[in-house]
Amino acid sequence: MTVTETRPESLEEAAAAGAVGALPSGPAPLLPPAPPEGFAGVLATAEHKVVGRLYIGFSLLFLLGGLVLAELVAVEGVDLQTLNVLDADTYFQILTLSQVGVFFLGLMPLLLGVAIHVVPLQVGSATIAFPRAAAASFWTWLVGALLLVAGYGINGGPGGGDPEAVHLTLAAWGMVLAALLLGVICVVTTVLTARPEGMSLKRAPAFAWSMVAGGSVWLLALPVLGANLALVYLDDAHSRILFGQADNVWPQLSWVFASTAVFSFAVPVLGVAADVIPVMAGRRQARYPVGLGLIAAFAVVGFGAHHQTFFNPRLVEQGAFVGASFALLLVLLAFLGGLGDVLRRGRPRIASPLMLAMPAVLLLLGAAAAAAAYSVRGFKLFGTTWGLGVTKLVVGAIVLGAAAALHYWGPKVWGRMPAEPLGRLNALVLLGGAVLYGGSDLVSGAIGQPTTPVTGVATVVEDGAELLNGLGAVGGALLIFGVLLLIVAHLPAAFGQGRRAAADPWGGFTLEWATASPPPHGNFIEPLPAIGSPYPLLDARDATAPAIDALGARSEVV
Amino acid sequence: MASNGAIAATLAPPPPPARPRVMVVGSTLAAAASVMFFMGLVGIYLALRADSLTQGESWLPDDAVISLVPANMLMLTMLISTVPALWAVQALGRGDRQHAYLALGVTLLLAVAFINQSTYLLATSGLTVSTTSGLLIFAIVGGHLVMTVVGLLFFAVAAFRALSGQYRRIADGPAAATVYWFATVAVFAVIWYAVYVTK
Amino acid sequence: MLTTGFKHYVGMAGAFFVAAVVYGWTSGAADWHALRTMGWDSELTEHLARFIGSTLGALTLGYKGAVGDHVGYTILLGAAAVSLTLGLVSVAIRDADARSLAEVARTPEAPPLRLAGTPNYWGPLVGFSVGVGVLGLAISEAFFWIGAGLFAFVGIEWMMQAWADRATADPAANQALRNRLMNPIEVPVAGALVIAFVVIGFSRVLLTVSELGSVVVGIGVAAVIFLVAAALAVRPKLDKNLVTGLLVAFALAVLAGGIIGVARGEREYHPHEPGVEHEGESAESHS
Repeated sequence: MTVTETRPESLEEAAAAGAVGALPSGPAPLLPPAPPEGFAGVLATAEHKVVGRLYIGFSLLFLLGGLVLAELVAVEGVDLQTLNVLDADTYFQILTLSQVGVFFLGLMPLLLGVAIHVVPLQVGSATIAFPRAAAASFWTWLVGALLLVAGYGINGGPGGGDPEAVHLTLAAWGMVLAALLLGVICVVTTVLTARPEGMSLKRAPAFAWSMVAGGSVWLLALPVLGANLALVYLDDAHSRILFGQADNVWPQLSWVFASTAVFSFAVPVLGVAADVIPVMAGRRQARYPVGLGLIAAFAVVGFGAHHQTFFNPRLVEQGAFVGASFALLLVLLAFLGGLGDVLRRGRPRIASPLMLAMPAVLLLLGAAAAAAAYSVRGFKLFGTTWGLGVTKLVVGAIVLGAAAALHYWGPKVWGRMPAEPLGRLNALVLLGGAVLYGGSDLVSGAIGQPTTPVTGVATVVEDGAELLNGLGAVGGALLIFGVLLLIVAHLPAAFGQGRRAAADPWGGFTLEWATASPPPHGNFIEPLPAIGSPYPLLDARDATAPAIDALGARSEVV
Repeated sequence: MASNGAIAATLAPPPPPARPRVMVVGSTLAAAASVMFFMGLVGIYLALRADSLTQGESWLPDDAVISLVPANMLMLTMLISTVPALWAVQALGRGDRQHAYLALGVTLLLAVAFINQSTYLLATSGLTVSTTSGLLIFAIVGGHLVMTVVGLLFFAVAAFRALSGQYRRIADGPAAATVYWFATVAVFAVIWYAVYVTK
Repeated sequence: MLTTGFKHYVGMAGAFFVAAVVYGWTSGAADWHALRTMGWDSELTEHLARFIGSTLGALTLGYKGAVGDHVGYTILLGAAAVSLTLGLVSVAIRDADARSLAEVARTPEAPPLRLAGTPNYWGPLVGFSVGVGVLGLAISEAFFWIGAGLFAFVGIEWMMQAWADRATADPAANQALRNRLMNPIEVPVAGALVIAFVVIGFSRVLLTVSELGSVVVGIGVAAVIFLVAAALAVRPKLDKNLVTGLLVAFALAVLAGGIIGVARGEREYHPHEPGVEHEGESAESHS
């Protein structure tokens, strides 16, 4: 066959063209050669499950690092009138790196990693859409993350003293962003195009749907951050007229960590909760599409790319911001009502996924309530640590949600059962840590403590603010301990130790539980069950053991 | 080895059909992200220009010249290029390979012409990155040139694969390239109005 | 019938549009200055003009009146337009539901997503090439263009691999076809790129370290290249993991060298100029 020849498109055409030898004796071989074993295999593979595991592993390490840096900043807050651990030059760099690290090197890639692994399974697909692009996304993210950290290490980042290192960090941040968005495109495309017969979008599993809703909003919001980064880089590299001036860099980029934009990172957490809680309660979620709609609404309201206080300093006084902040709260209340109904009707099993998922949503609700209060001008919270508290609560909620996802899908991801007792302890530690971590800043803001300046030394210190900061530092330490526990609980399973996981250890409702743990190459060997609802496996069980009530109680499998 | 490869490919069975629409959806999502990148840039451009005009200052430096005639030609080139792009998809869908090649070729030609014109216009504008307006215009127009080159390469890839007979009946690749190209045209329409017409 | 995807994205578009109008309106700063100069100078009319100006501006995309914060307004309008487009694409492809895809593909069932073809290293190489380009943005234009060149090369390789993977149903035949086309191109191009890397990357290192250090580095790198080449010559069938590990180490060394280059910058050096005698150079040495 030459390049310009038209290849036959069917066996009949091939035979007609005289290529008799082309007719295969059996079905066309679908499986390409398996990647080589070992290190070379990991580099060469485009297997979504491997890419997902890589994302999960590395992002957990970066998350831990980011939280440790945030803890350094928190410890400095115990004495607001002087710096004890860091010097004035590095305080601001550590502050910014901790935020960038926690969100772009930790939380977002962690959720994306889970999605890259789990979502194709949830929609019954043999692979992810654009598998090589997903692999390229991971490697580009990893190299970008290393360059970003290295750039900070050589005095770069916002506030950095070495211009070339500042350029490096800005460009590397852009690289990280582009890589993550590429991974998001792969996941969203998978949900939109790879669903099996019968699985309309209304019946898509909640986590898969949350990746469509949240991923779409990330694709709309985060390129705007890319535009900010591009302008800052260009100006910093040339004339520093406006965007690249040292004092202006971080204010142009920090909107992504503030309300309302920060909530968009948490959209997949709602999907995790909406998948985990019905399974743990053994009940279907009533009015399932409404739940999906609420996830989508949360994502849309969490789009905060327009809330850039650098260009609109009076933002929080304006009605649009107030409306968005309260809308977040209302949507979450409705969503939580749906989950509460499932728990009320069911017999919840007290297992680590439930113990992590439910507090995650509750924390998110707390964060949304705090964000709503922040937007009320009469409360005079703008400029205080209250805003920081909102961000920290969201961080806590996402950590809890991601931990719930890992404990729930861990058996599928690793093929081994993660340590359940550690998971339960993890839930308590993370919840306690997150409440202290964010709550202390809220209380501090309520008593009027202004946000600490970039120098790390406050000019105003309200009574009790330092004590509250101490409590916040304890919360931060607990979060670090919680993430360490999470890693310890999964590390043996990740290296093939521990009890082998059954195909469906939780009595799951969705398709990922219809295949072995871990799934084979190509994911599904047996034909998929017929899909007539969002819960095909539950339907299959109900077909043999009829449902008890109208919403379909889970049969005795669990 | 070489001849073995050719013989093996000739005798091998045809590939199983691909799942349709995957490329189109992926391309649409990528185009969406690209468009939002420019929305961020253009929003900042409009805001700073409005601030500058409100303060009674001139937005563009006195020695800068942004002629509308070549900008209009650019817009026209972009608009015209959408026709052969669609033509290519239609032709491939009908299995009309001759027309598909011609249409893909014309699209590529217009894309190259646009890049040539746009680069020339920017180079002769007298703008520098040492002013806020110059920096923003370079960022926006330069960024769009990159997007155009990506679109051009996307079309080139689609053309290559069409040439090798991989898009018959389901022209997903060219359709995906067309979606991205339309986004490129749409972004330029915004730039044309915001930067070139209203300056 | 309107599909779920359409409703979702059009709902998003509607929400963003409403948000844009509300945001443009509430962020104030209507073009009331212009109206005031028309003679409306009482406080009431001023407020009224401001109200009308803001409302008109927000509703007419700023064509009449004015909007407040252009940044947020433009971003929200852009998000609305993009979401609307996503909705239209969704409905045009019927949400890519399996049944409609089967109809498009003219197969009894929708074909599954295709598994990735022959394992290859283009994914990691994309990351590496972008990383080199990013380093170039901080260090030097040459480094950036090397990264861009490598990225283009990897892109072409990736495209050819994707094309070949879909050529037939036989992976071995596909690979043979790819090799037949690409081997004559990729060997010289890859060789040129590696040489460019070594020369430019190496020159950056030599410019960064001290004069004595540059001699040590030069000898060290030459020795490493020699030893690796000798090892490959002696044992042409080295373990794949070992070779991959060496390549990754090379890639990391390039990136690390670049980072060190950023951190330390170039040392000051004094090139030889004709007719100028430098310290330590005797007249005899030139003779």
